[in-house]
Amino acid sequence: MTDPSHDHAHDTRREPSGHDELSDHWLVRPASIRKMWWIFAAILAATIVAQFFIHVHGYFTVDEWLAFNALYGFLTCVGMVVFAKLLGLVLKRPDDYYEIEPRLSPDIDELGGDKGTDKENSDA
Amino acid sequence: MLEFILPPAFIMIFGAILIGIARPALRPLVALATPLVTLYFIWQVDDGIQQTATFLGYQIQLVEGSALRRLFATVFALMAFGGVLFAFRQSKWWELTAALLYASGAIGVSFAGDLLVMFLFWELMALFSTVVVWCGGTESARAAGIRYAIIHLVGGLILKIGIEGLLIQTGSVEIRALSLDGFATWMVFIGVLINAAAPPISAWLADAYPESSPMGGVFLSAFTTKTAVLSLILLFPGQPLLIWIGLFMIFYGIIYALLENDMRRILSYSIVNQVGFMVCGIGIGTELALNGAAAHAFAHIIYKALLFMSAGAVLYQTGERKCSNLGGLFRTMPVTTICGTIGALAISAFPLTSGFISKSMINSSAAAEHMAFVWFALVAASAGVFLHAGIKFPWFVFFQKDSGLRPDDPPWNMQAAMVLFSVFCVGLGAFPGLLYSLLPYPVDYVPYTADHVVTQVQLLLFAGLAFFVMLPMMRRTLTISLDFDWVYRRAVPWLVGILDTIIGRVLQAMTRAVLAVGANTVQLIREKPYGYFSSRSPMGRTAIWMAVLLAVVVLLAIV
Repeated sequence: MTDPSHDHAHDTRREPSGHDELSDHWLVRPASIRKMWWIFAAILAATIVAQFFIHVHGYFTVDEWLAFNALYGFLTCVGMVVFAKLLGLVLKRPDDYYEIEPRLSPDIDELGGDKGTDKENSDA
Repeated sequence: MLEFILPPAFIMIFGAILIGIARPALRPLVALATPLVTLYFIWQVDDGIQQTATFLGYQIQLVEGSALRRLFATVFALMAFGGVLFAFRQSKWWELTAALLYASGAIGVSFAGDLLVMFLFWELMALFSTVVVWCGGTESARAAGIRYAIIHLVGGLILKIGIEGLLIQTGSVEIRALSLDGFATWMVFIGVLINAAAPPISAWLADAYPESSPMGGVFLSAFTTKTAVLSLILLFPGQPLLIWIGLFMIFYGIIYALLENDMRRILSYSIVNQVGFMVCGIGIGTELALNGAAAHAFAHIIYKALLFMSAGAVLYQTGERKCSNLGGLFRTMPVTTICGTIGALAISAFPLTSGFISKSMINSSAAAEHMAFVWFALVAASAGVFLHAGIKFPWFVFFQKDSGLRPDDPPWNMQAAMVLFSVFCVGLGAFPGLLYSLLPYPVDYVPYTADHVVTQVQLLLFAGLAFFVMLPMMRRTLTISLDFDWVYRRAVPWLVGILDTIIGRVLQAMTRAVLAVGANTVQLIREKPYGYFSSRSPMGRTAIWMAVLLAVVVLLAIV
């Protein structure tokens, strides 16, 4: 409440092309990304190897299998992404879709004035 | 102990109004103290009916206590405190007042002893949540607020029809478990489900919440849907239909969030997804499932508010809301990045976070009832949550490509609120007993078993692998996705427009036809010589009038 203005927002944008020292953060260097993939892969493997030492008490037999959760999680996620992508083909619209106002009622003058030309209807 | 128990909701209403009256320098203090004082009074409410009053000739039960009701009221008050802490230096005082009145509605519903009281506070929430949406201050916020208000007023109306029906049929508006056996109970069911963002009327949530101010979104994320969850637990526990409604909400939330570009709309869809888990648990209806639904609501309010805070902080600092314009913010917003990531891990139910100890209760309850299909769907959905909220949100906002934006972390009070809620998320996850002791039924559920941790980590990490493998398919596009609101924002106006055109044309054609018939008749009379009284109209008219005059004289003579 003591800070009524939002004016400082928007000031922070800088040109993406500008090479400040932050754009070369160690986290985004290709070498560290490669390293992180290896670490990630090792952790993934470890979660499966752990199943040799820890017995999983499943509810439906199939979920006691080795790496069941790994496979099930991976495949269902791929499935969901693909399904979303396909649904997107039907449902996606430009993000200003709703900014164009629908025409609720075409003007009567427009309709009646001269007979031949009232082709336009409300499909805005 | 006070002899006379003040309804906690009234304390919050009083505090909210006091904010407006107080001197500007005192307002932050009043705003911060109100939720804490309310919290104290919430814990003074004992089990059973505590306070009655007379309203419009009815004996109403203003305050009824139980473990479940206190649990929800507690998290609503905590949420109000965190939200005020996040907002008090940035929001206008009327936004804080509206937000606290909105929260007081939620607390009022939590303690409502009968459906009349519930309805009154229900409408209070609808009213002031609309004001919070409007505090977004933009033209799109105004329009979205009106759509939001219409949906909730219609929902309230349906609920009211149901309550009146129950009153007439049974003479009682007691809050008790109802069965779907008549028109009135169906109306109550539908009225509550509209607030829960159940299909098909779920679009209001993702339509309105992202239009609020960076601070307003934090409040909006918490109250409306979770009071609906509480009402469902109280009114329709174990209603099997809810399982399927819940599953639909879960997958609807995931799919739409995957398609979305606006960061707070991603989070809005994931509210629907998370409420779906709770609704599904209520449908299963065992003690474990209802405990799970209540615990998940508690945990969810905290981590979802945290996620909305981190998104709000980004929005406040950059003015950007689209993922396609964001990215790489971890460089200059470390606190926001870490807190947002903790929220994302909590919603994904990683071990040691609050989501892990609550969501797994719902999943386990499905397995315990041998509902294989439901269980497999819930596990797939748990992986999907990590996909759409757990990684997608932090990845596209804080990491991915460098957007060139270099905003600082937000002001200290926003950081403090985020850190506080991060501590809650981890604390509840690390010490599940804290939450379990508040649940309505005794808990003998142990979340931290070696196999549970291993299977959950395996599931989530491989879902993460799927995210990065499928990354090329998830490129952000400048699009929105059509939802049910298309029906009332486009299809209905379009149909009305077409009907209007058709009716306009028919009217025009009729006018033309009548005029043409008239003109033709006149022409006929004028042009046909000797066709009628005379060839010249003035003479003919005189002849008529003469005839009329004669007739009158004759008539008078006879009389």
